[in-house]
Amino acid sequence: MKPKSPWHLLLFIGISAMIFSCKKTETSTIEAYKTNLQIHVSHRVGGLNLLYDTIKYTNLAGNKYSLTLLEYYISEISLRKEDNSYVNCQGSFYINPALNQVNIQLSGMAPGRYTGIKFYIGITPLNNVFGVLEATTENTNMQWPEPLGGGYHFLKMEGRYLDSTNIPRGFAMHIGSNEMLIQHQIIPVNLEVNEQNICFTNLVMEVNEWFKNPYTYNFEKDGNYTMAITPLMNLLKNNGYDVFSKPE
Amino acid sequence: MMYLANQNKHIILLWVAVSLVACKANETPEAAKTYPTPYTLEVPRGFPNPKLSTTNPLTVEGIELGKRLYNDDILSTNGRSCTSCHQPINSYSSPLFTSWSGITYSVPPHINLGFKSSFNWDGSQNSLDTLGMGDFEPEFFNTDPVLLFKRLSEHPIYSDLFKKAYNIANVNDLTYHELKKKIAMAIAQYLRSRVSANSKFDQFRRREVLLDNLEYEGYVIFFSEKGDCFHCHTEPLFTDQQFHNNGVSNTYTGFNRGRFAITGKDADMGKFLTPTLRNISLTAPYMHDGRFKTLEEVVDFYDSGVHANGYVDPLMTKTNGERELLLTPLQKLQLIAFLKTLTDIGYTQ
Repeated sequence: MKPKSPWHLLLFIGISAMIFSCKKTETSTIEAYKTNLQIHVSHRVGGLNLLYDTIKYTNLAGNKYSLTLLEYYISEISLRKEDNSYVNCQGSFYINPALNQVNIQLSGMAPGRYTGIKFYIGITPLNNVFGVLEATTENTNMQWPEPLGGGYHFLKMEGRYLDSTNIPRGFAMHIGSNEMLIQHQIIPVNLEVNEQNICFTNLVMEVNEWFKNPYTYNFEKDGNYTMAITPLMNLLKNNGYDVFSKPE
Repeated sequence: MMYLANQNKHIILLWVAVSLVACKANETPEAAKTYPTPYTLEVPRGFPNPKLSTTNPLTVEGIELGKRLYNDDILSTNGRSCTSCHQPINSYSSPLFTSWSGITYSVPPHINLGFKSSFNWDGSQNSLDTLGMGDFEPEFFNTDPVLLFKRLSEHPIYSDLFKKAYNIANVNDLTYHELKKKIAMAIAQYLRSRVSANSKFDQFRRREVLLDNLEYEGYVIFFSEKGDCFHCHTEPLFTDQQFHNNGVSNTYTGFNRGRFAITGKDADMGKFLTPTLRNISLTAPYMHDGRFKTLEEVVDFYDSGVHANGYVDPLMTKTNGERELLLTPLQKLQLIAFLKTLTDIGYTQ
């Protein structure tokens, strides 16, 4: 573009100087709708609110156990509309009740009524690559080492159980690697999303569900350590499709 | 310029004037400078965000002040400086320290502290800005407040740096508590600015060098279930910044109680903050009480010496309830060779 007169040139130079000196960078995301949905995730064991470090829970196999750690990712949440089509919300969410990281914020979905929610437990393959997620302490602690395939742990659940002689022993139920991604079954909801209000809903994880249906997992018989042991991770994966529900 | 019409020459002058206003000059006359000068920490790729302080932001002058204080015995009456116990050759650590209360412990190294949120073996401190406040006590610097005020106020460089870093015209205007606080804050700034990310392993990660066979096999052991080191010693800091009971003790009294002594929670019995493994070859002896003199002893412990009791971290229990790694002598050598790739000699110089 050629300035037409000295004053045009002056204006051009002035504006150019302002632009190049300020280095202001702004990005904006154009969202179709100004809607917001907050999902609060709570955690129960045998119907009781999760309390760490106390051997007071019993799984279906009869193991008495406690939890010392529970952290996992939820990814690619999809909301079902009344016409059975889905709105997909990209992204992964780190959940850790001990750190009170239990809320998921979604936005930009079309206003209207939603009748179901589904998601993955873990990180979908595109992002399940070592170092892809922001290097927060939480994410780096969830890294799945490259010699084991790289990526991130999908789930870490650790605690202690009483063995057959009533001695406490540790267990570490870890799941990771792409083939262990857990597609959770759809959870019926009744959400009315609009642009005027933040829509809230709750989900609850029942920890005992990890140890039953279809397989009754027994720490002592099956194994107390699952990381990188494909058969054991598979048992948990197959049990994990229904660990969440909508509380009454 | 020759081809410009005369009428445009004044426009060129105006452009220069606008540029001068719009662009920050590279060099500002000393009298026109404002202090302190903000400092941007360069964070290595893959590192988490540093734990910066909003009340003690990094500045060039604050870091310089902290660096001088860290290395200077001006704070003490016994000839000690921070580097007396945090010796560069030991990755700003030292073999052992015995407190007046009789507790002997290995001194945690000052390395990548700007990324941490808990300090000391038992996590008794959670702010780097105040970590140095206790060092003025008789046990460490045995600081004489009167002498400290005199030395600092009469020292031309410190007077200047306190003014530039914290706008303190005269340190004598501060109370002793305020002075200690500012000193600790300056040292915290210096420690935040100290980043170690140039070990052989870092260079391997950046694809600048290759590990040799021994080191690479050790890397695989470290980052697989064979050694299972990675769950607690997480990349890139080689600490998960969590507290664990690694089964090194079977009874819990005194310092061995670890985190329990701070929180009083039974679940914290015997837990200690996971130490970084960066520069681990320089920080012997090992464990909170320095009970292991060599890396060989450490690897032997994890291989077959982990105690079994109800407090030991679940992660220490391996497949089928076993606590043994069952490493061969060669695998132990490989693991140690890998651990030595975490040495960043440049950081100690």
